[in-house]
Amino acid sequence: MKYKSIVAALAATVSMAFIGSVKAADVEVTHWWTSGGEAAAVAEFAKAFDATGNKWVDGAIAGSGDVARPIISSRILGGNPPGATQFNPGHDADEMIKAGLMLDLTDLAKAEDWANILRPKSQLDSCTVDGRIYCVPVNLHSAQWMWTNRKIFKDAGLEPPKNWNELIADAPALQAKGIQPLAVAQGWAVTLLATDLMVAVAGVDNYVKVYKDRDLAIAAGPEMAKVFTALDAARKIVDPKAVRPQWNEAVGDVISGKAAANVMGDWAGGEFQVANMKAGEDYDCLPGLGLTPVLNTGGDVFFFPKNKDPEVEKAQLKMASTMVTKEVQVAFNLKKGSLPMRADVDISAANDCMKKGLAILADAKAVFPNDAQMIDRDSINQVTDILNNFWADPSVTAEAAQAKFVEVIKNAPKM
Amino acid sequence: MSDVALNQATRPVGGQSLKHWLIATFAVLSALCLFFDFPFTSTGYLGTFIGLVVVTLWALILDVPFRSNRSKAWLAAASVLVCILGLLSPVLLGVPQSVSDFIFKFGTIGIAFMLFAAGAWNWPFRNMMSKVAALPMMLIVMLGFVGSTIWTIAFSLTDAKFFPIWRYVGFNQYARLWTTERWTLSLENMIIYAVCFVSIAFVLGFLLAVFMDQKIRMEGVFRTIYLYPFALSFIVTGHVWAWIMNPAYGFEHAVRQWGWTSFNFDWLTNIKYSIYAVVVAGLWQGTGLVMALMLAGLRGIDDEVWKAARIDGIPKWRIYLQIVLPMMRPVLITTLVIVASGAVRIFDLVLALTQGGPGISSQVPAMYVYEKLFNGNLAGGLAASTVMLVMTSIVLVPWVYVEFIKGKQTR
Repeated sequence: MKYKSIVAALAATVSMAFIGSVKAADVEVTHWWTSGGEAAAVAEFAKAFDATGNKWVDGAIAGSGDVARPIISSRILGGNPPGATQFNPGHDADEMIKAGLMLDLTDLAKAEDWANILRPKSQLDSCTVDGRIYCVPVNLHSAQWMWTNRKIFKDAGLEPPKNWNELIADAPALQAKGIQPLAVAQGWAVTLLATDLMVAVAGVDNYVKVYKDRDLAIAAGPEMAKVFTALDAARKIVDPKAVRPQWNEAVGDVISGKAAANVMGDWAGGEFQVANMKAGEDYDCLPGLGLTPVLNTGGDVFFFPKNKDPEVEKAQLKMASTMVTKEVQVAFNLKKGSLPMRADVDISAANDCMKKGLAILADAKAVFPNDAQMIDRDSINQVTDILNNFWADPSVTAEAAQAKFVEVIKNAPKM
Repeated sequence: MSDVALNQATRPVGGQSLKHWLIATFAVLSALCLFFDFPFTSTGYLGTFIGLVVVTLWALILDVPFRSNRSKAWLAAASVLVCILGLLSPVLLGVPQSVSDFIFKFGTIGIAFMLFAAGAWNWPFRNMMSKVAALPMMLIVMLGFVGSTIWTIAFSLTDAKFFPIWRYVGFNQYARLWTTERWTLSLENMIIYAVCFVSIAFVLGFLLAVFMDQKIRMEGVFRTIYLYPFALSFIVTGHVWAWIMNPAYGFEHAVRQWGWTSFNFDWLTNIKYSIYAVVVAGLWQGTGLVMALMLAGLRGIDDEVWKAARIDGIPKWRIYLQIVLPMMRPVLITTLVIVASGAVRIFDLVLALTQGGPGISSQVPAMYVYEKLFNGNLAGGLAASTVMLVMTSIVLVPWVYVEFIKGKQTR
């Protein structure tokens, strides 16, 4: 009798614990979205997640992915993981997944049929390791955009450029008026400019062959040489004193009229949005630098590092599910300036730039993978070092920089 | 009762059982370390390394009398050779990893066995209390310093990406390091920074200290002003100087607005001078500390020396240069060690001031190590930090030898 009552008491305690587990959990989210447009977008996520009864604890890391990634990885490796974290699609988290540090989202993905509602396929593929899904793609970003301030060109008596070559041609006239033709930020922004030139000048096929198939003949060949020559022309029209530390400061220079143009991903669109400028009237956005209308499939994904607390795990799954609902996708992507993951959402509120992007996205041939999906992060960092050195040091010739680039591609490990 | 007497009194009874218990625990721990995979390693390498370090250092620190039994010492040395053979066998003999693993573990067990046979297990019980008291320190030294150093060197021989997974690749990482332009440039920058910073900080700091030593009025105020920058972190210092030296809105902009329109001060954005911009900010922050240390040294000079020198009619500058300065040798060396080690590990100042730019012109080794460690090239970062360790040792070891070991013998 006594034994039974003890069992009953234990059972009651256990069921109490289960009742308790319905209560909400705090989830810390690390990301590097800190510019004006990005912060507005992330607030949409937080609002939607808080509405589920849980609490979004914001863990923004200022700087860029290059600053934030080491901090986030060291926290996960060190056993103090955030509840959820932003990454870019690619191979950055491969080893962490293989070590079993990330929450498996496969069941949720099957239940919500992510494979069919999210497109393009490449995004969910880069979340998949050995058939299991470990991250949720939240948006599509493409890096092949040139942004121009129309008013600057009109004031200078020039026609706003339709492509990169016209901008280079207009450069002397702008410089004579004391306006920088091209605003640039240092670090990865230089790599972005170079990659965009590769795609626009050498073509998508050659770019993918170099990065994915490691075709050294093309990397060292005349098509790539044209890219480095174009970059050489670009560095000559940029005053080293005006190079900015952060990408949003460079975009800010275009908005304020100090500079005429900037090459940056579509996330720059968020900055123009925050500044109340209208696409097509105040500024132009030219996909593929106006030369080849193609877009890559960069973007952002969210990983959920494994957590011992089952309540947190429930909240993590809830967050993953919230992020891909129709309403949240629209609200988030409009603020962020990126394209939604779902094709079935209402985008009538989208601006001209987003519509241009969506049109290109519909053409499967014009969409190609980004560098992180084809090559390891260490090699990307090495290319960034070479390009930045080339950009800042006039004594480095285009040929020398190309030779070093070929060397990195040659030594990159197979994926 | 003295410590020795106490040990002898308790040894036959309590000591024996405690001894057996300790040996048993140690044996179990070693076995666990040797044959179970440590977290994050595919083989037991981490475990074997730590086991090896602990056993060897235990024996060395406790001064095990190898000479009393020479053959055992030879056997221990042979085991060490077997370990090294095990490590290098994939390269030298081309044997598979599993075989080399086995050889290595075999050698490790050999060492452990020989040390026990040599009486290492009996040694801890002489003056046991003092050894128990020293145990935490010894464990920290063995695992924290020596163990981590060996771990770092070991994994710099792999191609580890995010995790320390043992995939032996020999000296590939080092070969790659020395062909990376950013690394060689980082080293160059570190040397420029260290030489400029140390020499200028010493001269300026000494002159300031001499100036403060002239029994001036309001010395406390000046001392505070000079030392105050040192209270600010490098991050704050870096950001403030980044604003001051930014040509778009800093000093250059201000002077041009005053009317000198051709004025040029673009160190921060000029690849030739960006590292010197870091030196300027570093000097602003660090000279005060040098001054404070030098001033303490100056105040430590006996007044009698001054009086004697003055009676001899020696001019003041010569007293400072030829009498006081040589007498300050201990202070100078302390200051040099503090300032030079600060220069070698320079990181946050560069990060806040230039982010290593423009281009890669102001990169420093610590930034390289940090980026590689946490951005998917762990082994590369470990190789770089090993090189830094070796370079620091090349400078420090001869000095430590001359200053502390040889000096003691002759004195």
